[in-house]
Amino acid sequence: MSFILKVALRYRYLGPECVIYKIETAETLLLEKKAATILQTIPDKPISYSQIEESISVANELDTDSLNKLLEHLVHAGLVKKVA
Amino acid sequence: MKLSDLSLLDVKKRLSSVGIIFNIGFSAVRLRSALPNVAENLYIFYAFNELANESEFVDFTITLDCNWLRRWYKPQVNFSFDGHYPFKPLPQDQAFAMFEWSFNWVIAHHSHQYLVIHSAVLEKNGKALIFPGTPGSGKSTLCAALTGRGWRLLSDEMALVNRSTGLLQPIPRPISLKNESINIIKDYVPEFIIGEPVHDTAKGSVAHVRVPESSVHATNDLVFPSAVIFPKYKKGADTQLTEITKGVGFMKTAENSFNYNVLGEQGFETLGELADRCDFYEFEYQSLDEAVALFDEMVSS
Repeated sequence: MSFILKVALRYRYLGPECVIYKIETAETLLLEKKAATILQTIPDKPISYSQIEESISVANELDTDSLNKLLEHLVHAGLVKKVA
Repeated sequence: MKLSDLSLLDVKKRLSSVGIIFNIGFSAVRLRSALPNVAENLYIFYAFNELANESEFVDFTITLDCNWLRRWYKPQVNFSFDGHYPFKPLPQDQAFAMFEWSFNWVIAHHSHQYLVIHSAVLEKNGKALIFPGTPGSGKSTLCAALTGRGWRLLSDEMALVNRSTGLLQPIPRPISLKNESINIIKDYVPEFIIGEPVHDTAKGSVAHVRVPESSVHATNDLVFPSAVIFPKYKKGADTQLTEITKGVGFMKTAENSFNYNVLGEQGFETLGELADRCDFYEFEYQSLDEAVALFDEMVSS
């Protein structure tokens, strides 16, 4: 399973949170810092789940369950697309 | 030369002919009107504003005129901005209130060199607090109370955040009080000059408070914001200041901005820099004394 970033974004980290700005639609969203960190590892070309896990989990002490939940959240928010 | 250096008669004459050009900090406004109550209120509420020369560039040209077809029967006032009539006419006794509301609209929609936040802004000891607020939140009441207790008024209505520097541009204009807050402030700050209330407006009864001369004189003293506080007046409430995260504060401030969406990425950047610089709070209150004491304490250190 791979993921791809759907939209161009700007990031502003503010303590335990991050506000992101969707350039195309001019929407602003508030995310927890971990979700934004994951989002920033996903490029606009497909990246595999294991690559994301590798770059995220060690540095952020993020377990697989949390990573999956946050990825689902990002997909649901229309920021990331899941590709087969 | 200040407006109060003219006589009321001069003000009336000029207003009804070429108009009066006065400065409001970052811009010059030309106002024309033949309506006597506009001249009288302008003379009171903009007494300390500097007049500009005829040769100076005028940013906003505003006219308040009467609808001649309704001269005698239920007279009305029309507001025009650069020759356009953006609003429906109002009863003529609301002329000055209409000027204030419509002027707010003009500034909010034509000052995109700033991020414009619907809020009161006050400063003491070099620390400026932004109080965003929806109608009924008690923003103007709190603003008037702090102004009456020695705080410098930057604005009762909008924070103008310079997009390049992050500094706040003061734009001290009359504080607009509504309904019960008129008498509350009359009692709380008896020395304030408060206009006669105008009743049955879209916002109920409205009265304006003249800005202290010291605030008008300090119009060119720019200051960085240090906190954003979302006030909520609640009958019987204990005074309570609760810190909220910067992320939540960012989103709430964006909701209270007139032009965050218009500015796009630049709005995001400017608000992000403001969020880096400020702490954010929610504030519930009833007692003005306690509110003033709390904010005095906040800026004392």
